Amino acid sequence: MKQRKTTIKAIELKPVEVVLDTNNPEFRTELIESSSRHLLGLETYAMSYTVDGIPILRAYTYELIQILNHTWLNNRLKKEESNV
Amino acid sequence: MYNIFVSPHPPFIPIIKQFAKEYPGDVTFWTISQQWQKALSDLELPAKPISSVLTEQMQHHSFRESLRVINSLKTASNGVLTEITSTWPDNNLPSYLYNRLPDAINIMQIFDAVGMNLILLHNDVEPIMRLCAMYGRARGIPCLHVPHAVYLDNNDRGPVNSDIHDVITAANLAVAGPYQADWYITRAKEQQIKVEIRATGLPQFDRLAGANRDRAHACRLLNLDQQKPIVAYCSSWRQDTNLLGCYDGIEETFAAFLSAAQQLSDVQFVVSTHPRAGNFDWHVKQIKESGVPIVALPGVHFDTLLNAADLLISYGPSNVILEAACVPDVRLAVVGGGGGFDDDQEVSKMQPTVDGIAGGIVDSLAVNTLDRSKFAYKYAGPIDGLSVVRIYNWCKELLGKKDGISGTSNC
Repeated sequence: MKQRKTTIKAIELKPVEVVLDTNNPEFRTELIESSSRHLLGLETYAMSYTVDGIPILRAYTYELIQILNHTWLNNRLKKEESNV
Repeated sequence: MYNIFVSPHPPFIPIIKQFAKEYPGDVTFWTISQQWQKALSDLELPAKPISSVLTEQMQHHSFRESLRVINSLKTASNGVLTEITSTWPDNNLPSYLYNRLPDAINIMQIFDAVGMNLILLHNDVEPIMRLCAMYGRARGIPCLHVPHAVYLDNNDRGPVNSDIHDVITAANLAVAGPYQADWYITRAKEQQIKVEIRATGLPQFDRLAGANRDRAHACRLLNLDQQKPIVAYCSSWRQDTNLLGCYDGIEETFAAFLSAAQQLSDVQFVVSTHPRAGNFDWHVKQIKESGVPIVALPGVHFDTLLNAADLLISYGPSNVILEAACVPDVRLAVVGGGGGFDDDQEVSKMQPTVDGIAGGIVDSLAVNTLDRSKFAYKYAGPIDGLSVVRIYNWCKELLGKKDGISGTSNC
């Protein structure tokens, strides 16, 4: 399996450089499920906060998902490190 | 009098010009930025920045409502955003939102005050663009999304609806050709969202209608030897909005490309970067450090590069492949970035390794180009120079003006 260097970035957050085994099928499945879950969750949750009749937080999904991905990858990294 | 909001996208300029010509004094184009307004005004087109109608009262409302949303989030106890709010101090979400929400609320109030009749967007994904599309849906104002690109599937994107680019918001959607139409129809069904999709072609491909290249002229402009093969390497941007694209593939593959280029001294190489990736300087630095004589070319000269290149290699499935397919005798290849074009023999697939790229270049240059007309139509739609006309007529229809100009045809 290839160890792929990953620099985790997100809006307004400090980039973190890690090495993750992104060719591992289980890890790829986790990645996909996480992205999908984040996207669906953001879309649904943001509907709760309307301004002048418009669910305004939905407009920021593009950036918020980067923060969620950043958080998820950081947590995944900590999990991998604790298993070493 | 018609008020049209138009997002900053230069391929829209012919549409704006046609409106100004056909309805002088009757249409105003509203812009998000003063730079875009200036670009249009310099062309003597009727443009105003939306900030010109912002009032103090609107700003008070915006700050008040922003605080209400942020305070609501602070007490939120379920949902995926709690993953962010649980790490609130690290993510500094309140200041992140407080920097953005007032702008969004201002825009909605300005649209209400102006009485926008049509919203024309080049994407409905980025925050402000998406907000405009949401506004259109909520207020019943026509919103036409003309995608700035054809989104292409690859092994890194994951299944349908795992990436933000999958989400449809605008109520009207112009697409390039059959591939993009199917792509969006699939997503609209899964999202159970009502959207009118028409295959109009995209305006950025209009310039390639009947493209007949002058390689010798292009080589002179770029100071390249026309007797030697020319390979264009098109790098990309990093897709942090999808975890599968969130890795250093661009950097890793470019390092492999530089090493491969070092082995091929008879080939001339030119590197082009994505216009919005912000990594042109990084590529220049890598080239300098490698010592390989490679030209790095700003995107504004891309058409000249298309005319000069014998082979175009794209990192991942980029739209540059579609543009190159419209120019005679440019061979096509994709490397890294999750691949792409798996079912299309018109595009060579290179492994993102030194040997994979070096061998792939030699093999590609050794064969003649295939007929790419079906490939180009599948992805880019009809390359007839009339996309602008079809989109213009659709805009008029959305404004309630039924008399289209000539040129509507085969979509």
